[in-house]
Amino acid sequence: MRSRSRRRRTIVYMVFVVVALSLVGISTRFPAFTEGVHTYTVDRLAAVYKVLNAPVTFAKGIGDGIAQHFATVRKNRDLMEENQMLRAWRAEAMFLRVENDTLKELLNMVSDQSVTPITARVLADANTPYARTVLISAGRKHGVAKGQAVMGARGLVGRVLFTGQEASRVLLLSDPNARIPVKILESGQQAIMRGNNSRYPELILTEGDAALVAGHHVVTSGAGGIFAPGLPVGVVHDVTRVPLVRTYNSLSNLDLVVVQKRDVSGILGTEATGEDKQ
Amino acid sequence: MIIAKPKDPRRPSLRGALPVALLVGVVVLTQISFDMTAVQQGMPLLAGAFIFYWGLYRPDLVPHAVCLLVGLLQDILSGTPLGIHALGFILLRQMAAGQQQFLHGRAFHLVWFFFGFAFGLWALIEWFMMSILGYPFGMAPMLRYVSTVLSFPLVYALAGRFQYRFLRRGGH
Repeated sequence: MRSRSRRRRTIVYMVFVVVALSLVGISTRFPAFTEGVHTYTVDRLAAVYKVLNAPVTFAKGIGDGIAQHFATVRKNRDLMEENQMLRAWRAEAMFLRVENDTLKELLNMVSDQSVTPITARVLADANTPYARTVLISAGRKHGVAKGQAVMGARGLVGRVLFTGQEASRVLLLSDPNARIPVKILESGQQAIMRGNNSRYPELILTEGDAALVAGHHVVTSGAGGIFAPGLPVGVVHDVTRVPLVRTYNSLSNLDLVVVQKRDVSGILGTEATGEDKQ
Repeated sequence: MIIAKPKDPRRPSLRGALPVALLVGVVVLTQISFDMTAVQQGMPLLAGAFIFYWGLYRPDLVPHAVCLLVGLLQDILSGTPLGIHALGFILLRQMAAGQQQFLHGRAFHLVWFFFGFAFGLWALIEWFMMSILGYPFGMAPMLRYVSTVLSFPLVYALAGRFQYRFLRRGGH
């Protein structure tokens, strides 16, 4: 009798193991299935996370407030200096803008689609050693769509992976599935930036044999049309073995992000996204 | 005179669902953003430690179906392929339940050692599967292994208090 019950328990256990393994297979083979399940659950949980994040945001606000209070004098002096520098840059930027517009007019160049920023708060981090994604508080309702670029205060941080009504999941540049077409600003070399689960994504040159130089700037190339060209990404960090990029924006301490609202549905539907699974 | 009927221990009760609620709460809470992704990559998998505890002391309250569903929730929230954590939780629960006779009444450090072994086995399986799926190996899985094993005494104490307070055999 006891051995019969034991055998039954073993069979139930084996059935659940097979179910779990099948789910792994299905979710990797059919990403659309995963996307549907993710979107549904994330939408239901977005409201919960908004509530749970409130005390965290409040505590952080207090901490930041105290830190800022003590740093006010020094920060004020730094800001005044920075302001002077920015005024000079602004004048130069205005001049370049006018010149750029004039040249575009002369060439009859079709301008790029307009980009509308959508600000969102990071609600949840992927608490796992393997995936680098975050959940943000903006979804389809706010105009977020799959594939749109997500910026931090200093530069690109990732792209929208799934969208729900209320929230979306963002694939960070450091995720092993992230592939971003980039170019080196100084040399014009085209490359693909690949996430490698570390702070410094890898750079794979697709064009040009010239040696990479540490410190050169990396921007999106706009190849494939998913990202607008020229979005700041980072600087070449290390070229001794596999070239690495140090992103302008930290991928570890994200609080507020800006989604670049831009229609990429046609591009994602018809062309390769330059990304692997998911 | 009213004679109280003895409770049927197999009768499902609201208290019996408390470990499941606790597990869901742990999974949801551990995903909150603290602006520390770097640290969070190596954060302990607390739900795994809790499942091991319940699998050892009250497997009837965390059946395989619960482990599967809680694991799927963990997968969805953490962005890993569906089924990875579900498989891990089912294995942990089974390994704990399978050692009930041996581990019951033994010193805590033996239970802790066995948890380290069981979780290590699961971490190896997970790493192997993720490698097949193309995820590179880094330090984070090892950090998570260490942090989870180190957090087990806390989980054990909390779950023990919880069980004593709400799920005593007579009271359930």
